Amino acid sequence: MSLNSLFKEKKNRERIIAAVIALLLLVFAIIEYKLVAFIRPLPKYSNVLIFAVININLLLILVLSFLVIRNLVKLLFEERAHLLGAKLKTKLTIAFVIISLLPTILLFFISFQFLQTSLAYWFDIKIERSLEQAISIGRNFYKDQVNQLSGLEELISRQIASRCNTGPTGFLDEKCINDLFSPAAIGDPATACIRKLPINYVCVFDPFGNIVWQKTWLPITEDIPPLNKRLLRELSQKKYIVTSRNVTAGTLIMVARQIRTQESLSIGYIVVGRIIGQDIMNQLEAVKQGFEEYKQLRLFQTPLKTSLLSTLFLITLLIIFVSIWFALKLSKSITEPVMMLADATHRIAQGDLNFRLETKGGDELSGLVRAFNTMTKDLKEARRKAEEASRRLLKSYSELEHGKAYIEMLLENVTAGVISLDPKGKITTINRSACQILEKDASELIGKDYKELIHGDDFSELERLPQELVASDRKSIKKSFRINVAGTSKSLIISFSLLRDQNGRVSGVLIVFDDLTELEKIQRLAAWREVARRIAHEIKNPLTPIQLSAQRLKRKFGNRFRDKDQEVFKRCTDTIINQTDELKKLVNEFSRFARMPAPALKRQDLEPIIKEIEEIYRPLIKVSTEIGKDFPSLMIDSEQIKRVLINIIDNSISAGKASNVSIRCYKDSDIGKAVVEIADNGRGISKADIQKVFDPYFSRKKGGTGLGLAIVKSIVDAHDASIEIELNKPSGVIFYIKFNVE
Amino acid sequence: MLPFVVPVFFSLLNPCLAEEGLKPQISNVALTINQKRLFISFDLVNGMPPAMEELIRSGVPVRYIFNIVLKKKGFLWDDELKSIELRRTISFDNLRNRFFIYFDYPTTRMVSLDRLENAKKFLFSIRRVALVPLEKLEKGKKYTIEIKARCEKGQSSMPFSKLVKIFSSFGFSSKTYEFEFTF
Repeated sequence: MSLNSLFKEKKNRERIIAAVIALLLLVFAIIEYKLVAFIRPLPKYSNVLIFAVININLLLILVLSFLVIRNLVKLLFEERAHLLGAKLKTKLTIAFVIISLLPTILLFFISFQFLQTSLAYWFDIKIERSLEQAISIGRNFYKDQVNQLSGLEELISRQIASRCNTGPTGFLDEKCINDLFSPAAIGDPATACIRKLPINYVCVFDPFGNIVWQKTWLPITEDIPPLNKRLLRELSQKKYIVTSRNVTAGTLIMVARQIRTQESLSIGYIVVGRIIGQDIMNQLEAVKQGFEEYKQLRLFQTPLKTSLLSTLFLITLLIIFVSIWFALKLSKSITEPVMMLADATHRIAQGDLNFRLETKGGDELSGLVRAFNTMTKDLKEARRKAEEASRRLLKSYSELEHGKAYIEMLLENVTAGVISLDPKGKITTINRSACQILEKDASELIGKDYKELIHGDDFSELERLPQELVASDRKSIKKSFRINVAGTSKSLIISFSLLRDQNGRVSGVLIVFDDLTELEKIQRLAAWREVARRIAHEIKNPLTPIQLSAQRLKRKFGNRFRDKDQEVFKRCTDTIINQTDELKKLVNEFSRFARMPAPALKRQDLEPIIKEIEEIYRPLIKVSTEIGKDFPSLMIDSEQIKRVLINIIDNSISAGKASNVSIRCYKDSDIGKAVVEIADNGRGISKADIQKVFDPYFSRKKGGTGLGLAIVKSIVDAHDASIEIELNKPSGVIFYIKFNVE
Repeated sequence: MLPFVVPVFFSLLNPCLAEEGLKPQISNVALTINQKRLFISFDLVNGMPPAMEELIRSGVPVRYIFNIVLKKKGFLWDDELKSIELRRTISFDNLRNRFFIYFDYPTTRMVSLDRLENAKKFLFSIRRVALVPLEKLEKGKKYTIEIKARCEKGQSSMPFSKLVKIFSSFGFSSKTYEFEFTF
């Protein structure tokens, strides 16, 4: 599991915990409310329940505080660990906490003080006294009403007992009672007084509790139910009973007592009532309610105070924790996107574009994150396109490189020399063949003026060619030149072509040249062979008759002349005969050169041939031979190779006046060839002539034909071998014949 | 500060519980019979601690509930023969300076008294409560009677009464008085 997913899981867990706590707080708050509002009051266990609910709330606050403290500690550690964004987060959290904490604490202390003052004011002794006096007034008023009614009732009771008691057993006369309260009745002043009494209800019962007579006065409009008999029976033990009943007009206060005769005999019951107006009763009830509420408040003063302060404290605590929590969350919500952006920027800097930042909400930071995501996506797309373009470019480049390499390979392998020049005449490219022909290294030539590499008789003409080419409409100019390379004259055919770009502008000159030196040599050799064949054919035939004729003349006429003439004749004929011999030899030599047969190649060792040569020349010069052990057998024509060695050694003796010749045969592993080295101690040869020694008819020897080394060269070439010559030290020359080893 | 808050709640929750020395209890239990029925009489003592008295005098009605359960002893469990709940509510009228007691069993009635001592007699003296007809009782069988009294504060018009109720309910429950008898 990656760190990111672990972090997300943890975050989700915290969110779930916080949500559960908030939910539980809500649920318990509802339960408390329900308990208070709807459940009927319960005894001890209700206390326990309420206590449990409160303590669960406290526990939940503790859990919340634990989470808050844990987050604060975490923040502290992040700050100390110098984690990205920790400082900003800390600053924001502190700022938010201070912003929320200061007013909350201030408000808490003000509220606390206000509550204390208010509670002290509520339970002020003056208020208590005022309320007690008010209830005392109410009580006195009520008592006064009762006393008045009781007095009136006693008066009425005496009148009834004295006037309306018609029997010894206490029979009450209904008509008499009615007359007492009738306005039409004429009687003594006492009865007149009764009729004017301020009462609203009178009910007279017989001793058994049955109604004898009853009457109501306005404002009573409804029937008043009689007192029950059980209550009336209680009057036997009490002087009077006071009761009350709510009626439409107000509260009817009723006083009940027994009607007794002068002899204290009970002859019945009387209930007298008076209406106390609704407004007065309301005022009395208000006084009563105020007093009772005050008493209750006083009774609950301590729990009330505690509950109010505790509630205030808990709410403050909750606000503080919630504000801290909110501060943490808010700072986190601000710093997290910033941290995410910083981290993402770092990742982008490292080249990672394969991610997307998660964001919720629609605030500016979320907008920034979304913009960042868009930017990352665009970057990714741009990089993809760039990579694709790069791939295409690489492919094109590869193809170009391939093409270039192919062209270079062609240029490198073509036998013609190829040089490209820029418009200023500087060499930009040169191929291997050009380097070989000019015997220079490419690195020496690149960037140099082309004039520096060619020197020759016709160079001034060569120099004019590019200008002529530009001036003319021709695409190229081809011309033969002979140039001097490292003291060697070479025949070249040089072609100048203009290099033009796609727009037709001249971007340089292409020089292509071929070395015709060897070709010329071959052509010359062929020509010489033809000449030799014709000379041999034309000269050889008349030579024999000339020689025979001269011999005949000498034989037939040699004795005819005397003295001086004879001597002249003899000398002349001898000269003819000798010169004819010489001419024959010359012709034979020409003939051999012209009729050089194809070699009959056969694998064989060179040693017998070397030994044979050694035996031939031992009487004349000192010959030393050395054949290496690893010298291989060769595909050779033994007769022709023998001719090669004889011609070389003959040349050393006759032209070089050599007295020592050494023949060494060895295998050169570096070049992979079998080398036959023939060195002499003769006079050697000048450097200027060294390249011409193999040309036909080149000879510095008096009477030499100049064909000996030419034949050597022909035989060596026919064996697919090569021959080189260099000066020996301290004197003489060395010939190297190099055979291919299969 | 939180650990300080919790003990405060403990001590202030119930003034009645604070007076553990005068625990309310059932006493003077007596079973009587006539020709038809079984009756029970008992008293509740220490049923009105001073805090409760003050509560009543401040106009808050207080309800006393007596639960009487008669069970016939069984082998595995007891059979409930009768369960009665008596409710008596006392209130004080500060204007009239009188106590009112409301009875709901066996009939609904009310008495008014001017002295608390008299009111207590009406409240705590339970007399001749009919339990079951005698024919429901088997001779020689064992029976148990459980009596429990509890007290609740009634509704009041006091401000913050709901808030105060959270912290102080002014209620109590007596221990269950239980005894066996053989008919």
